Amino acid sequence: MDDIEIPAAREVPDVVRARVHVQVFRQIQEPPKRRYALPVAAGVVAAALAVGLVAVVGSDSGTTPASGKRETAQPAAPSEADAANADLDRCWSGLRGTPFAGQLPPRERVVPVLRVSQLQVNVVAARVDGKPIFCETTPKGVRLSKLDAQPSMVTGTGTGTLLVSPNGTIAGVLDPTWADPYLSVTSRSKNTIREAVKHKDGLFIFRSALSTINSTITVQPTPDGLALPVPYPPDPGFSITSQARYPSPELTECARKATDSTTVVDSDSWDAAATVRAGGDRIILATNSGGVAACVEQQSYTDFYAMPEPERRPMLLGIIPSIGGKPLLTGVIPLGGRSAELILPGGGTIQANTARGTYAALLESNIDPRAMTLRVRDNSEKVIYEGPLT
Amino acid sequence: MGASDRELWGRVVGGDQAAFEVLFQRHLGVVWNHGYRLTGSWDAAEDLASGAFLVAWRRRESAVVVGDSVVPWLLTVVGNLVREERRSLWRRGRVHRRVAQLPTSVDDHADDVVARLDARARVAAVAQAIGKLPAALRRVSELCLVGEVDTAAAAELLGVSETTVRVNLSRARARLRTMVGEQ
Repeated sequence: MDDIEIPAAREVPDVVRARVHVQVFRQIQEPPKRRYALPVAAGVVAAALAVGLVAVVGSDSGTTPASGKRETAQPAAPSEADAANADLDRCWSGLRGTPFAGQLPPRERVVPVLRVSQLQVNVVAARVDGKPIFCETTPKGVRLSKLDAQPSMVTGTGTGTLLVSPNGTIAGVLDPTWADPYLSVTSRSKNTIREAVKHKDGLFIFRSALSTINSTITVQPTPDGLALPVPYPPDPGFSITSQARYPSPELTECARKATDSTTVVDSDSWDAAATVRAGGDRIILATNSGGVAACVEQQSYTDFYAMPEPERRPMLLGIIPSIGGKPLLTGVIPLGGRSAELILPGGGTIQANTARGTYAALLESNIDPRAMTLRVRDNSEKVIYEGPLT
Repeated sequence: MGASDRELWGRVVGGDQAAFEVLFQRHLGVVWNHGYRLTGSWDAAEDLASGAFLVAWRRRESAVVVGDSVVPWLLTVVGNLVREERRSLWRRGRVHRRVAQLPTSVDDHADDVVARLDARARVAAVAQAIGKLPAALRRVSELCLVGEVDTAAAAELLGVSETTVRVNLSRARARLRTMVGEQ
């Protein structure tokens, strides 16, 4: 695991094997009443809960059931060509009302070549009368490279960039002699990712999880080849992104710090929501019409996590277990909710910070969320939800 | 070559303890080592191995066999038990105390003892750092970095795309380097 040390596996000593065997099989053979009194049974529920949370935080489909099993009965996916054309349509329609509209090539002459979709960002490489053009769509914006722009070439090669976006896209033309290139991004925080480049017909697309803003980008013609510096294109292309309705300097600064390492998609589109801080750390939840996000500022690291709109409300969001040494609970509440409080097992309550349909609450100690109740009130103080945090 | 995990688990679902015994013997080592890597404690690893196989038996109908292996799912169960132990009031602090405790046996070679202490501290540091990661990053770290499950299998188990797993893995690695480096 790179520089993170994981110990080598050891053989299980016979005495340990025997003890574990006795523990397991003795209890398996006991009657059900005793079995379900065991504390490990709680782990079963935790398993389902935790896997479900992953679906919210990490899924690009947002449809994972709490069991962790992938749903098998899904509607047929549109073909890649259909999806690419839909993305291109979105790029053109998004830019239609902008000052750039007159500079766009006719949509009907755009022929898609390659599409890469990752974490709500879709990128299409296409050609217009043989000339390359790249379209990036995000939940809240579109970006298009300029058709007449010249690629910024990697010195001495036929590879060059035409689009490097703050949403983590690096795209351009590929040297025709390169069959298996690898690209690396080293962020300002000195973290590096290196992955194979997706390419077709002389065009390439790379999606970076690390920020591409003022980062160092290199490319290797072969997996073991010399790393060559990749220049940024001089022109950012045409773009339009929905702006936050309620800009927050704190959120803007947090997102900016996060881009030292992480790609923050649609960074200008987020409205600040519930916020808590502890011990010098802070979490700022954020919303836009496409989903929910969290900017987490810790003394050592700032990171930004975006996720699609949760499939239900209320819903616990498993973003990070604690900040500043204090257990943290975050989630979304039913629309129309204006305040939220957590009712503890002993009857005490914790008033959560609540804003724009989200809440965040710090706990004094670790308490199982399943033992708590969430109470949500609307503007008129009427209780509109009281029940599990889910 | 014996029966595959998938075949055996089909029998386990029907209540076949003999099939479960085969899987237990086959995968105890992986599960036990995973418990150690997530806690830095062999004592805790033993408890976790027992707990994971008990959960596996009781939840046998909802187990997820990935490809032809039940290992990724078993490792997920171990990870959830670790979190449950940390979360639970009933057992609060027990894992952490175990992580911090010194080796229970001390031999005559001081250098060897120091080396083992260092190794234990490094494992504990990684385990604690992983425990502090956001859920999506933590889960892929536990499966792919600690459990050495490949990204395709992790994606299938978690019900997300392999790309999502790889992206989260990159972010987790970056964070862990920073977090472990500071400890």
